[in-house]
Amino acid sequence: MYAKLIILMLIWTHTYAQLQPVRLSLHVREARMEDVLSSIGHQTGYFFVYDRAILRGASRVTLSLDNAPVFEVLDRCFEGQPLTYVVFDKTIVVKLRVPAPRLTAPETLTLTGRVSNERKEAVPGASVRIKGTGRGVFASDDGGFTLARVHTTDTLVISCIGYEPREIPVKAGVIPDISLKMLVNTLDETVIIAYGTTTRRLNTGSVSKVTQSDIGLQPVADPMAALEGRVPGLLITQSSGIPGSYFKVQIRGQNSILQGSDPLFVVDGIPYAPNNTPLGQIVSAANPSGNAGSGGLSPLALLNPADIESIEILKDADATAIYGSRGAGGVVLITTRRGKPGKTGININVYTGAGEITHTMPLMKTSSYLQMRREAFVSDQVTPTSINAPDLLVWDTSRYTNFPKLLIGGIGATTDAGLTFNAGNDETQVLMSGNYHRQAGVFPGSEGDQRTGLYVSVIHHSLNKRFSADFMANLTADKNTSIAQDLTASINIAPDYPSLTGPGGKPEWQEKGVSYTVNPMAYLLDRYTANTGNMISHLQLRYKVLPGLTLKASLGYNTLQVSETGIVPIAAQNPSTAPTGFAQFGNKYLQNWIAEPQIEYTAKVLQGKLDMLAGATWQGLTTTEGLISAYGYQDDALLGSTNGASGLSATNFVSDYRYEAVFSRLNYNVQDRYILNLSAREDGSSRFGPGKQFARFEAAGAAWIFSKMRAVRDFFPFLSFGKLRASYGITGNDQIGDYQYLDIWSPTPYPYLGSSSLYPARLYNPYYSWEINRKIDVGLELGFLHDRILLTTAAYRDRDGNQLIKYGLPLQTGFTGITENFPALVQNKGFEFSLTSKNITGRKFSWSSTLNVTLPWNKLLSFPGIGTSSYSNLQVGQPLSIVGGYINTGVNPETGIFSFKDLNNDGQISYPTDYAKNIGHLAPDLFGGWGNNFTLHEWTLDVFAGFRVQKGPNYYYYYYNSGYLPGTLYNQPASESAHWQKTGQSAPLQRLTAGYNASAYLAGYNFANSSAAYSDASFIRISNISLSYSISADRLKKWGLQSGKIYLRAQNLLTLTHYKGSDPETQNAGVLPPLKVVVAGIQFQF
Amino acid sequence: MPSRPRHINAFLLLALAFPGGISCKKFVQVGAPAGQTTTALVFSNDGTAAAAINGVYSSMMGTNNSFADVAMTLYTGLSADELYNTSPNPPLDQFTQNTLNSNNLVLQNNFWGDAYSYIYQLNAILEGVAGSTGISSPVKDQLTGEASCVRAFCYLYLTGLFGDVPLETGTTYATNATFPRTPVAQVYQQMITDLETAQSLLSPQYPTDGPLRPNKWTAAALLARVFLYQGNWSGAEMESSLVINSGGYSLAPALKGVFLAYSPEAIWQMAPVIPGLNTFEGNDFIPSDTGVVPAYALDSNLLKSFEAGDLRKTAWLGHNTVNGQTYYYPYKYKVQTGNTNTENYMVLRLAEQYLIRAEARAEQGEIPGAQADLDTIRSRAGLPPTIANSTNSLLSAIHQESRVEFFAEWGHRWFDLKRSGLAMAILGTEKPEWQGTDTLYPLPLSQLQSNTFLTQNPGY
Repeated sequence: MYAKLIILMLIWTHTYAQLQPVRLSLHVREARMEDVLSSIGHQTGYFFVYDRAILRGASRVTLSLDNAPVFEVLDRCFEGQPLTYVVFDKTIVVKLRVPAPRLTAPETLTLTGRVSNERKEAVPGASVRIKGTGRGVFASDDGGFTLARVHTTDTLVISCIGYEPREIPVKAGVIPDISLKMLVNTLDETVIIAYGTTTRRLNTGSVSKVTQSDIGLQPVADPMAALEGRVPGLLITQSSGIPGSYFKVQIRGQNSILQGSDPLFVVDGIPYAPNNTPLGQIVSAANPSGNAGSGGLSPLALLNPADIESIEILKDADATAIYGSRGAGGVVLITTRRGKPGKTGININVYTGAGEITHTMPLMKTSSYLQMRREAFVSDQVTPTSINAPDLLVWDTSRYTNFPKLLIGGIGATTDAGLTFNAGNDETQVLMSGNYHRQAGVFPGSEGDQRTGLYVSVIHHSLNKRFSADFMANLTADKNTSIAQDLTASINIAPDYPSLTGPGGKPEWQEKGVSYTVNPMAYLLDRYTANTGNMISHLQLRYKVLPGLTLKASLGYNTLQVSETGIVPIAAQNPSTAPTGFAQFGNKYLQNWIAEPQIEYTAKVLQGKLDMLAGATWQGLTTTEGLISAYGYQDDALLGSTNGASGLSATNFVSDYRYEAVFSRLNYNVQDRYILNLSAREDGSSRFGPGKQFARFEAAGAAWIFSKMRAVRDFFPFLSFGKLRASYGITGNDQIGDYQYLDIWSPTPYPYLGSSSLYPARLYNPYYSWEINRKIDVGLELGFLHDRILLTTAAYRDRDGNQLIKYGLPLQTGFTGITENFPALVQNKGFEFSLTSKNITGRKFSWSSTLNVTLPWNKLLSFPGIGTSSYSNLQVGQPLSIVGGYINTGVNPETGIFSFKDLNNDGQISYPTDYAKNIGHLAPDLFGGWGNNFTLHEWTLDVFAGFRVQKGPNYYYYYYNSGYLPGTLYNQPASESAHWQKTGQSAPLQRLTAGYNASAYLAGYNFANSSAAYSDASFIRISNISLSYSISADRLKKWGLQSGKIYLRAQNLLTLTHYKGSDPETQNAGVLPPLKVVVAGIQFQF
Repeated sequence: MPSRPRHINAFLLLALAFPGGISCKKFVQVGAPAGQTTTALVFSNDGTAAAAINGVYSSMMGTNNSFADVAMTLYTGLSADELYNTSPNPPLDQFTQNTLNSNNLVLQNNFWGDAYSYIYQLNAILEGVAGSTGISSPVKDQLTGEASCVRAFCYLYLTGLFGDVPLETGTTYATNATFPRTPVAQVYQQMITDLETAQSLLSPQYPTDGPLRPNKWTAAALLARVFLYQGNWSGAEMESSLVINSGGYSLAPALKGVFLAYSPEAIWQMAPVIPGLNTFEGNDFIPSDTGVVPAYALDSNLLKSFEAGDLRKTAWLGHNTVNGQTYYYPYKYKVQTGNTNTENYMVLRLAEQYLIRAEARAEQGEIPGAQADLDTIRSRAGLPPTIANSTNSLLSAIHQESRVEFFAEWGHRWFDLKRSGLAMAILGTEKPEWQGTDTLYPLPLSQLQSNTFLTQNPGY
C-alpha cells in the first residue's frame, strides 16, 4: 500500500509541475491560425493536433502579448473563432466549437467526493478534472477532493496511473464515492521487491513475477513445480517423481564451484528456515543416499500453492544486493494472500484425479532377453550353471513379468480440497484458509504424500490510516509415507524372475531350491515415514510519524520439525541370513527468528521524488538434529519404538547461526523518466571466524523511461512503453555451513569401548571470508500497441570470485581439504527474453500468449593452480558442468569390444591419460516456456509448454556403471541397439557378455564413462493444460453464488524428446520419472 | 572491493545512524556447537584428552576395509599367494593379478588416506598433550606413549606398502601438504624413537580391561618386529625376549581360542565398535550361507603348504562346496555377525614374538634356541619338532611356519616374501603378470597430482 502511495504522490508532483503556466510572448498581425499555433507550439513545447480542414474556417489573428500565460494567449487566439481547444497533458487538440445550447446559464456548484479503488482504499493523487476545460484538482491523502464552479452539464474525468480512467457526468451534482478500477496493464501491477514494492514500469532491477493466476492452474503440491519454465533465468529441475521429492532451483546459473548456488527463499519477509535444503536424514526412496541435504523431501512443498499470491524472482544486483551475503544466488520472494475489503465470501475449490509416471523405457520380453543371455554365455565361452544362470536353467523360461508395470506402473490418486474465507471492511481484512492435498505414489501399495494446512492473514489499519498491522500465520502438517528404496532401480531384473511374493503376499526368496537375494517386493516392507510440521508467522507493524516518514517493524518466526522413521523388518529380509529387524529414527528441528526495524522517508527533492529506506536485521537459526539407529529386533511388531531393540546407536547435533545487518536503499525518481536506485547492506555472519564476520555489499541501478520523450513518441507512435535499465553491484555468499572456521573435534559415530571418543573433524582455518559476486545487468523493456505486446530483454554477467571452496589437500595432511577463499572466478552470462502479447481481445474470444527464452553461458574464467588442485576435473574457459570421459570410437570390428580414442598412443586405454577432460557440459544451453490462454465465452483454455536444450547422461551411464551390461542377469531396453556378433561387423554396442569376459567387462565400465554415455537430453514438455468452464452470471444468481467454475487440468501430459533413457529431466534410469497428473475439479464462491 | 562513490557512503552513514550501534560483534559470535569441541579444549583435561586417543581406535575400527581393519590382510593377501577374489571386480583384480594401477582408489583411500588421517590425529594428540597444562602427569605419559606407539605402527605398515613415505610428525597443514618422501631408513629411525619413548612411558598394565590399548609390551613387541625387518637380530631377540619373559602372556592352548577376546596370547587387540558385529574380518571372510561362494577364497598353493596333520588347517579354515567345487576361506575369526562380543581384532600376538626370536636366533647362529622357539609354535599346531638344524634350513622352516601360522593375518606373508627376497622366485612363477617392482605398491595418482613433491615408485 505504501509503495502505491509513493507512486501516486510521484504522479501528483509530476502533474503539478506541468500545471505551472508556461508564459510566452506573441506579436502577430493578420496571421493564419495555423502559423499562430505553430509559433505557440515552438515557444512552449505544447503539441497541437488538428484537422487542417477545420482551420480553414478560422479568421486571421491579430495579437500583441508579452510574457502572458499560455492559456491566456490561447484563449485570446480562439476568441470569436468557430474553434475551441482541449488540453491533454502536453497535447492540445483543436476542434470545432459545438454551439452551446442557448438555455439558461448552467447552475454552478461545488462538488466534494472521494476516490477509492476496488478494495475501498483511498487513491490519493488521483486527478479529477472537468472534461474539456483542463481545470481540475487532485485527490488528497484520504482520496477526498473538492472542486468548485462545476456546471451540472459538465463531465468529470477521473484518472490515475495504475487505474482505468473514468468519466462521470455531474448531472444533479451528487457525486458518490468514485471507485476506480485498477488497470490490467501489467506494467503497473505491483511487483514485490526487497523490503517494499514497485511496478514493472518503474523498477530498476531485474525481477520476474509469477502470480496465483498461473500457479493456481496447476494441480501440484509444490510451488516450485508450478514455476518450472515460467521465469527467464530460473532453472528448476525435479529430482524424482516420488511425491514430495525436492526440486533443484537455480537462478542464472551455477555461481559457486562448490558451495551452494541455491537462491535465498523469503516468505512474506522471513527467510525460510530450511531454504531449499532437502529434508531427511534416513534412506528413503526420495533420498537414496540417506545423507542429510543431498536428497529427500522438498521443504517448499510445505507451502500450499493456493495460499500464494505471487512469487517474485530477484535476479540482478539491484534487486538482490540489499540481501547482502545471502543474495548471490538470487532471491525468491514468496508472498501469501491477503484479505480484501468487501462482501464476506467463502471459496471452495476441490479437485481429484490420478497420476502415473510420464515415461519409461520399455524393456525386453522374456524371449529376446533369454536369447541375449544365451548368446552372452556362448560369447564368453562359459557354460551356464544354476548358479550363474538361474534365469536360463532354474527359472521358468516361459514366464514373463512386466516388472516396470508391476513396480512403477501404478496409478496414484490425487485429491486437493481448499476452503477460503474472506471478510473485511476499510479498516480490517481477514483471510483464512484450510487446505488438504494428497498425492499417492505409483509403487504398489505406496501411500505417498499428504499435506494439511491452515492459513490466516489479518490486516488492520487505524481510522486515520497512520497505523497498520499485518499478521500472517501458516501452519502445515505433512505426512510422507514411502518405502526405503526407489523401485525404479529394480525394474530391470530378469523378466522370467521367479514370483516375488508367495502366499499371503509374503516375499519369496527361493525357487526350486535355488535362492535369490534380490526381491524388490520385499523393499515395499521397508517403510519410511516422515512427519513434518511447519509454522511460519509474520507480523508487520507500521506507523506514519509524519507525512513522508514511516516507521516499520517486521517480526518473523518460523519453526520446522521433521520426524522420520525408517524400518527394515525381518519379514523384508531373506530368512536364510537369520535376519533381525532394524529401525532408524531421525529428528530435525529448525527454529528461526528475525526482527527487522525499518524507517522510510519520502520527500520531493528538486524535480524528483526521493524514497529512502534504512533498516537493521537480527536473525537467529538454531538447528537440532538427532538420529537413532536401533538394531537386533527379534519381532517386527516392536519396530516402531527403540524399546524392542537389542542395541542402539545415536548421534545428535545442534548448530547455531546468527546474522545481523544494517541496510539502506535510496530511490530517486525524476518525473517517471529517470530513476536511480542505490542500495547497500553491511552484514555480519556467525559462519565466519573472528575478524572476518562483517562485510559490505552494495548496488546501483538506473532506469530511463525513454518512451516519455517527445521525439520517441513522434517517431515511434506504436511504441507505448520503452525503458532502458542497467545495474551493477556486489552480493555475497555464505552458504558454507556453520562452524567451518573452528578446529573442531567431533565425537566418533561409534565410541571405543563405550567411552567417549573424539576425532579432529576439521583443520584450523579461521581466515576465510565471503564469496563475492559482482553482477552487471542491462535490460530493455518495450511495450507496443498500447502495451498489448510487452517485450523484456535482459543481458547479464555475474562474476563470482573469492570463491569459498573446500580446497583439496594431499591426504598426507590427514584431511581431504580445507575451506579457503580461492581467487577462482566463475562467470555466468546470458540473455533473457520474455514476450507477452494479447493477440486477440474480442468480447467473446480472446487469446494471449507468453514466451520466455533464456540463453545461459557458464564459464570458469580463472583458477590459479587448477591442475594440482582437487578441481582438476574443471577447465578454465569451460562451464563448471563439464564432464570428462573416454572418447568412444565405436566397437572394434575384430574383437567386438568397445574401442576408445588412445590419446597418448600407448596402445592401451588408461586413466587419466586417455580420459578427455571435456566431452561436453550438462547445464542447459537454452531453456524457456511458451504459454497460451484462450477464452471463448465461458470457456478458458490454458496450455503451457516448457522446453530445454541440453545434454545429459543417458541410460548407458546408469546401466554400464551399475554393471548391467547386456548379457548379464539384467534386462535391457527393448530398443537396445545392435551389438557386435561376428568378426568384421561394425555395431554400436560391443559383444554380449555374461560377466566373464574381463576385457568386455572393463570396456563396459569405460563405456559408461565415455562420450557415448552422454547424449542429447533436450525436451519439450506440455507441462500444464487447464480447461475451465465458468458458470454464467444468471445461473450463478439463481444458485446464489458469486462465481463458479468447473475444470479439467493436466500436469506433464506430454513429453517430446529424443532422450535415450527414461526421463530427460531427472536423467537417471534408476530414479522414478516425474508424474503426469490429470484432475477434474470445481471451484465456487458464495 | 572497488572504492565506493561518496554519496553511497553518505547514505550508509544515515542508515547506520538510525539503528545506532546495533552492529554488535558479540551477536554473531556463537562458539563451538554443542557436543563438539576445539583443540584447545580437548587437551585441557584428562577426560577429553583420553577421548582423543579413543577416537583413533574408534576411527580404525569404525570402517570396514580400512588401513587398520581388514585392508592390510585382504589386499596384501590378494597381492601375495594367499587369497583370490571369486567374482570379477576390476579394482580387486589389480591386486590379485599384480597389475596395480596408481589410480586404484584402494591405494588412495584405504591405505594412504586412512593412515595419514590416523597420523594427523596422533600428531595432534602428541602436540596437544605436550603443550597442555591441564592434563595430569600419569595421563600425559600414558597418552604420549600410546600415541607414539600407534604412530610407529602406522609408519611401519606405510613403509611396508609404499617404501619411502612422507614422515609427518606435526600438524601444520601447509608444511605437511608439500612434504616429500622420506627415505625408509629415516622413517625407521623415527619408529624406533617412538617405540622406545613408548616403552619408557607406558606401564606393563593395560589401561583397559584386556589388551585393548597398547601397554609397555605392545611397544616392545612392535619394536621387535621393527628390528627384525631392519636385520637388527640382537635387538629383535632382546625385545621379543622382553615380551615372552614378561609373564603376562602365554600361547592359547587350543587353536580355536587364539582370536577370542581375552586370548592369553594377545599383546594388542582392538575392540569392535560397530553394533551387531564382532570383527570385520569375520564378517567379510565368512560366507553368509553354506551354499554361497565365499567372496575371497584361499590360494591352492597356500592350501598345499600345510603339512599333514597341521591342526591349523582344520581349525582356521572354513570351506563351502558350491556346484561341486570346494572353496576354502580364512576362518580364524568364527563370528560372521553377532551382537555378543566374543572376538576382538587381533593386532599383535605372542606367537609372532616366538617366530621373531627364532629367526633372530637362527640368524645369529643360536640353533637350539631357534629350534625351541619354532617348536613352541609347531607343537601347538600338532606338528612334530622341526628337523631343521642349520641357519639356512631353520630360516626357511621359520618362513614356512610363519606362512601357515599367520596366513590371512595383517599381511605377514606379503611382507615376509618381500624382505626374504623370495617374492620374485615364488610369485614370479605363480603369477603371470608379476614384475620385480610389484613388491611396492604405487603411490596413489591423486596424491602425486596434489603434492607435486612426491615421486612414483619404479615400475608404475
